[in-house]
Amino acid sequence: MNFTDLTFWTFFALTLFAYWLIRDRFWQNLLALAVSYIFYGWASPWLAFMLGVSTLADFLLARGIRAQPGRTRWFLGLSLLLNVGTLAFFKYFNFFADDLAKTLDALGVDNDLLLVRILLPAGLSFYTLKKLSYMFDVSRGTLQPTHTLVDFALYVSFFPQIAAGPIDRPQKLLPQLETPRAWRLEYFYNAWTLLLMGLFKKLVIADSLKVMTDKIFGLEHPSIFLLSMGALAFTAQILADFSGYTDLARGLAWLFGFETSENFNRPYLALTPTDFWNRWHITLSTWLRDYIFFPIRRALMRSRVPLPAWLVLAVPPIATMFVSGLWHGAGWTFVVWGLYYGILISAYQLLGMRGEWRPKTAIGTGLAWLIMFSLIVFGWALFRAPSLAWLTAILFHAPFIQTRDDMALGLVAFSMAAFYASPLLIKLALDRFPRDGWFHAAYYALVTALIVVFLNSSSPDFIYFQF
Amino acid sequence: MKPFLRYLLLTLLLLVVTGRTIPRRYQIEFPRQPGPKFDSRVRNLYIDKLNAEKPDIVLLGDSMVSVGVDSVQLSELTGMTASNFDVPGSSSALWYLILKNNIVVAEHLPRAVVIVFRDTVLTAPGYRVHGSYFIQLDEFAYRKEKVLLERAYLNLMNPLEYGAEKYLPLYGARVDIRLEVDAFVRYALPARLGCDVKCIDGGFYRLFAGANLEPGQLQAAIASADQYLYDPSRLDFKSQASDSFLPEMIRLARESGIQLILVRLKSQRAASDNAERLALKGYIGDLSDYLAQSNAPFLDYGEDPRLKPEHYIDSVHLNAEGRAKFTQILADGLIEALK
Repeated sequence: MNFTDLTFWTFFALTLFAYWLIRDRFWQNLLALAVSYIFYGWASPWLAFMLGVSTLADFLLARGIRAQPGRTRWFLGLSLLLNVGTLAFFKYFNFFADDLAKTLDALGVDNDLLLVRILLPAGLSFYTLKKLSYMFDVSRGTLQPTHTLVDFALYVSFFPQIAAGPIDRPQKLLPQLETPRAWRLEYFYNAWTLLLMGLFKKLVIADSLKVMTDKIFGLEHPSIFLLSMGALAFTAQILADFSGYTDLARGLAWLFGFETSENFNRPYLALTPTDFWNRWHITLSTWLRDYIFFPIRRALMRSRVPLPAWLVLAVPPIATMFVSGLWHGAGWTFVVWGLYYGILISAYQLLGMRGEWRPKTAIGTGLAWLIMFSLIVFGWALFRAPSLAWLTAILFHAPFIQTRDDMALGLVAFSMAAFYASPLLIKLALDRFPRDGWFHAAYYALVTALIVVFLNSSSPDFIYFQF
Repeated sequence: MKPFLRYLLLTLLLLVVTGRTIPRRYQIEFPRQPGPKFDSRVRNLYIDKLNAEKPDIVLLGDSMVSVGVDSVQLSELTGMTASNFDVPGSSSALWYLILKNNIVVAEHLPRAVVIVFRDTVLTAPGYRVHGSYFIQLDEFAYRKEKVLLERAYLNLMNPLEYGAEKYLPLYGARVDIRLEVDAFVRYALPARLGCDVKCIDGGFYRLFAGANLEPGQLQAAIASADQYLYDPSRLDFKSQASDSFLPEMIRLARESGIQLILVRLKSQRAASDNAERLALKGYIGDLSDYLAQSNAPFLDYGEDPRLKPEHYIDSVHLNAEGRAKFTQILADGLIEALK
């Protein structure tokens, strides 16, 4: 089931009605939990079973930490093994199995088992991080483990978030789950613009751009110009796709009476790589910052052997972004994409340009933005490239423009990117004014009309489902 | 409360305005008959081909036939003249139209029509009927194609969609509006720089031709497009058959005295899980029973061990060696079926 399917909306409307009909918090949570498992197990009940088992394991391990504080490391280690092991197996089995199978084949060893394709369960990467943050915080003593399995299971599996986040912290969602709630109109007012914008970004912007970006990134030898325009279109597509999903997830959560985290804050206006990651996929960035970046930096700063300042500055972002790359996918493009941002963050920081850095003049700001935006577009080219070999072959061997067709279709890609990004730019400008005025209302009315026009019988999955 | 009411008011206003302007601009009367509008022109391409070549056997199918069957070799092996009526990217809706509006109305009727398909295509009437595939269908459809309209479009609409198509101009004319938007986005900027519609369309055709695509991406695109065929509901033959074009194709062939032969060609696509593998097996079993009851021979090469992975260019298309191999296998099967 997808957030843009009519089946989903029918299912959602019925659930919502029943949810608010029940007044008792426990039964509301139980219903939301059941619905979350149906939603998640819709494609294959096996996925829901796996989610249930791993949730139960973490619930018990967290209780174990509380009951036996002396064995905290042991319980945490077990949880890490379970969560990271499962994620690594599903995510990287295919990646390593192919190479291993070839090696075994060369040695004449039977490798049939390695040729089995393992499909990554949708959302595994997202709910694993949610469970891990719960375990880390319980083990650090900054969070009391919950006593109710239903609440914890709902925190992990809450259906608007399970497929692609936001990766809400237990401190944000669990207290809300533990509080009684009754229907308030405020929930609807908070939800409707998010739902509208989510559908608009996905159905109108992302799906339209996808047609062109898939074509360009599907070519064997595109020219550099065509690739650049394709990357520009993909830059708009991925923002619309992912932030559209987040808007829908947040809107749906509001209708259930929950406030969930924002994931995007005008990311393409960033002036530095650190600034970009403070604005892009915020819940992932903060997760990586709190559980990977800070511990590494702390360890380096407390090192008994004195380390050079540049090393203490460079290693944490590179290591963190390397993990981020691995989290995004099993492939060298993702690894290099992560490292690319790690190096960029380190380089900017070594030059004294941290997240809050701002040039003093307007020209300086414009230039800093242009450089950062170009770096972001190049980053997305790395991310979307079918392989690293493909990208390096183009960057080092392809001509800037090969034929007149390259020029023409590059212009079409640019035109599409500009056209479909314009509603987002208009919204950006509109948001400088009070949001309850006529202009906003007119904008949303136009958005509704465009959704109606662009509604298709079927739509592709959200890009972030695959991570 | 106020912002939402303002939005509602403006949306209603917009619907009223578009309700007045759209019917005039696109010359559509509302309420309208839901589904696409076909023009009255029908291509005679295959009528002419039949009358000119007078083949004994006609092979209908998509690109699997184009690259997978050598009609000259097939003619030599069977001793019967064979002709390929293949349309790359086509599906059962187009095969039905070609059979109905070209083959059975030709002066020369072939002895047999052989439909080469993969897995569930025969009972997926909504497969490849939108966008550019619609243009392909329109070429062989008359203005009033009741069966086509019902099975490829109306049956697949939910009540909400049906109502919106019928009464809401903004939705009913969405294809025309999108075409206009797409044309603007696609042509306006390059035209200012000297590249007109012909230049852009030619560019698309040349640059995005199959030969220029990265093989892995091509595979992924095929797999993604074909996923529609393996949805659990489409793997249930009994629920799909009566609303598909298969019964109509069998009836048309029978009434015209043409022997309809259905050929399932192997694809190298791996099932996504065991449930899908079992469902497909059940589907093929039911299809086989149905065709046996309908006296339509079914040649199932879907699991044929003679067709190996090295005989394929990608997951569905045979290479030159595969083509020769399959043509030989098919010839043996057709001789047996037409005895």
